[in-house]
Amino acid sequence: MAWTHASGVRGHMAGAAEGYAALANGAGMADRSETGRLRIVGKDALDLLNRLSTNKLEALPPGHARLTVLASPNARPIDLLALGAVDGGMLCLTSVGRQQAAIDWLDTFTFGEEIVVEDVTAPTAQFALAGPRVPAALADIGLPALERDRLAPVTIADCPATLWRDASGLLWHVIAGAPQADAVWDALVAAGVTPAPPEAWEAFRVAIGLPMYGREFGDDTNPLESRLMGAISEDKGCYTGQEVIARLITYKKVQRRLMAATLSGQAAPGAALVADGQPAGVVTSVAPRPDGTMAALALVRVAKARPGHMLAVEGSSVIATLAEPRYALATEPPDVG
Amino acid sequence: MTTQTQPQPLTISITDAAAKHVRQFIQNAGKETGVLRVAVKGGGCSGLTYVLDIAEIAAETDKVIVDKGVTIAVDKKSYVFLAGTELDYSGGLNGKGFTFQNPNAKKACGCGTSFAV
Repeated sequence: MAWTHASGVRGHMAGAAEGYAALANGAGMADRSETGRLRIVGKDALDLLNRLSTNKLEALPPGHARLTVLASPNARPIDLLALGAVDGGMLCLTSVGRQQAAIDWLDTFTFGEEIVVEDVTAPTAQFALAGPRVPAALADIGLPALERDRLAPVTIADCPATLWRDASGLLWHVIAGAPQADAVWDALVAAGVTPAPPEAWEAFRVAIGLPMYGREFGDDTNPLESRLMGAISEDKGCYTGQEVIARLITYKKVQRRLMAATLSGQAAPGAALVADGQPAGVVTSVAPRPDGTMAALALVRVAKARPGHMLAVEGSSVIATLAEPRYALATEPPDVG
Repeated sequence: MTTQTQPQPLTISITDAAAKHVRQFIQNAGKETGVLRVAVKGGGCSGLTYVLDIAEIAAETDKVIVDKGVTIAVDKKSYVFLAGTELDYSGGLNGKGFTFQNPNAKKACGCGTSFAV
């Protein structure tokens, strides 16, 4: 099947089932060029980001990456950012379509600081790789598997690129110039990585519980209920939103908890979950798995957010069986209960 | 009876106590004259934080105010958030040091150094 995507990449694409299987159990790759990408430079950039976001960013040596939440004073996420230190600056991954919001937010709070934020979404392409065979495929073309939260400049098919292993360790991002995207994509496919279509990526995203802006987090959530503890430092001191976040942690005031779920039938994002007739949460994302079952993510009231717990989808006979989201388990500090 | 709300003065003022301490800081820095730079920067619990510094001279683009014998310089962007502010000084063992009465601040954090508009 020939295809064209936002990045302009063309090539053969696996079917949804094959692509999902590769992402989950083999070595799969999805075009994620619609993710926002910023290049941030300037001697005050890291200090400003440290003051405005939730994670400790006092030092970010080249090749190191960190998740952080750009938050409003009432701790509502402007966006979840992945910051990676590259030569002379930082590469910043935003949520899909949120790059301008991040730029605007930083601009609002920039007074005399030396910082330049450039939107490099359009001139670059981004592929997400996942699956247990990814390290072997990367090794085939001489690339390192990398530790979590690490990135490195690499060459793929004679093209300069950045290889970035994410905070969960479940994903690798390959970022290259848009004109080189075809060559990089083809080289990764030749190394044994199966190209997966968008619907396979979305099913995989939901299956691993990768939070998405506007679904699992956004301006009506706080970062704690979205299980973004891996992006929050509890001992860094003052930052925008810190007072609210500290209060939520200290007084155990987090009301909801992001959970994965398997649905016994169809439900749409926004569907209410109930237990014994009482409100218990809300479905945030739904995607069909290739085996016909429905994977979902849901923000569930803390008292009901237990693996194996079954909740009803309001107004239907569909049952949601809860599980811990892999992404949260992989990124949360070990002592988060 | 009707009451009229007084418009906030579009300036920055300083109390006698704060002016005395600013002069002391300038002297302690070994300078005969100096400018009190009042600014805002992003960060702090509420999004914006006050910044005070002693500078040799004001920048050409600064808004410059003289009050109680103290020259106050404010960059244009900070001034938007600071217009109408009174700078005070709370001394003593339990004093807070320099404090800001900022009519633009709709919310302040517990420590009083961060605010939101």
